Amino acid sequence: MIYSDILSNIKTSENSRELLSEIDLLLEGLFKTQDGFEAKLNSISAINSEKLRIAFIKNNISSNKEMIKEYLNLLKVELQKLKTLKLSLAFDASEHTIDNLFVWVIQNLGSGIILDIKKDKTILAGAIIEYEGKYEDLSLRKRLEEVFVTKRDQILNIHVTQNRHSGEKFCNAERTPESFRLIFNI
Amino acid sequence: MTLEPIVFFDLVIATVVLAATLGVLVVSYVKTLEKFKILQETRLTWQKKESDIESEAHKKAVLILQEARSKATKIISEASASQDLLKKTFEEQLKAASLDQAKKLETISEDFLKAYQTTLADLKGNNIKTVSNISKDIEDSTKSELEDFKEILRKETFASQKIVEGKIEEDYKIVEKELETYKAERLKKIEEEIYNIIQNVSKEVLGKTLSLQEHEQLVIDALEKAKKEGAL
Repeated sequence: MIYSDILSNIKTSENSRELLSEIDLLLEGLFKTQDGFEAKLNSISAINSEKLRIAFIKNNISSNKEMIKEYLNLLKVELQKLKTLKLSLAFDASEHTIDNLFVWVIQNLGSGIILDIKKDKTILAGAIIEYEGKYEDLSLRKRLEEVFVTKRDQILNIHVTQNRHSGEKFCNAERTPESFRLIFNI
Repeated sequence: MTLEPIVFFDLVIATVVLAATLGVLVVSYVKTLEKFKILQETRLTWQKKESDIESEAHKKAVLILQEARSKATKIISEASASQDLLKKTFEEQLKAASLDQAKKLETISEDFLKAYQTTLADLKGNNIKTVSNISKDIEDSTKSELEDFKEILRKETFASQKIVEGKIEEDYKIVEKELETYKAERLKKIEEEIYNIIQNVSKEVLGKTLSLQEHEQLVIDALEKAKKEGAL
């Protein structure tokens, strides 16, 4: 059976969860009445509904409820097999951004992978990437921290010099035994 | 009316039998009455004897009681007389003993008084001498101790002065060292704060000045780098 038309439309883990719950809904109404299944098919998202109708026709199973059931169950299994690429971004990812990232994933990593995107403002820019147990922090925050650690002395030499001079002046003022006797009353 | 001879003989026989029976009964009754009379007399005799014995016993009891009472009265009177005599004797002897003891005590008191006066006179003489000697000893001892005290005080003052000077020098060094440490810590803390401020400002400025396209490009760059490094 052909699932690629439907799976190619699943870009994120959110899309996947949505389709799984819709399949459960369809399976629930499948053997009730013919109208019942149609009603359930109309109640799910338009794009998934359309893709499923086309798939049923292409696989020539529109009139066979048992075949539809088998198709939907296998589709669930295929959905659960999809790999997840987790991305932490500093901004809200728009549909356009998701499309661009998904295209990059297909071109560079192949199909069968979906995106799990979450927002983390503290990373400033870039991304934190998690894939198949690997973790890579490629954020701007991390880069800046590295720069500030490696060039710490250079940065401090510029900004602290003036404070250091004024501090020393203060600390060296009138420190003799006589002055201590007066201060501590001994 | 005529009676049959047999009936007539039967009646005669019955009358004779009845008469005989009646006679036996009368004799028996008379004998019983005589026996009763004898018994009655015997009972009266015993009652009289019992009454006599009782009255005699009563008389004897009264006599015994009278005798006992008289004896008791006699004993009590004799005892009272003895007690009075004993009391009188005791009082006389006590009076005599008291007088004797008073005389003895008076004699002893006079002896003691004489001895006390003698001893007191002796002690008075001795004490005057002792007090005089003690005053002189105290004077000498006080002069000596005062001299020693002056010397010790002079030495202690000198030593204390040295100790205080040493302590001041020591404290001065400690405080100077603490001040140096404090100064270094403060400078280090100031450096840290300046560093953090610069870092935070840099992050804020860099994060906010990027456009959406630049953000997207940085994400793509990150993905490219991750792929190159083998993370993808």
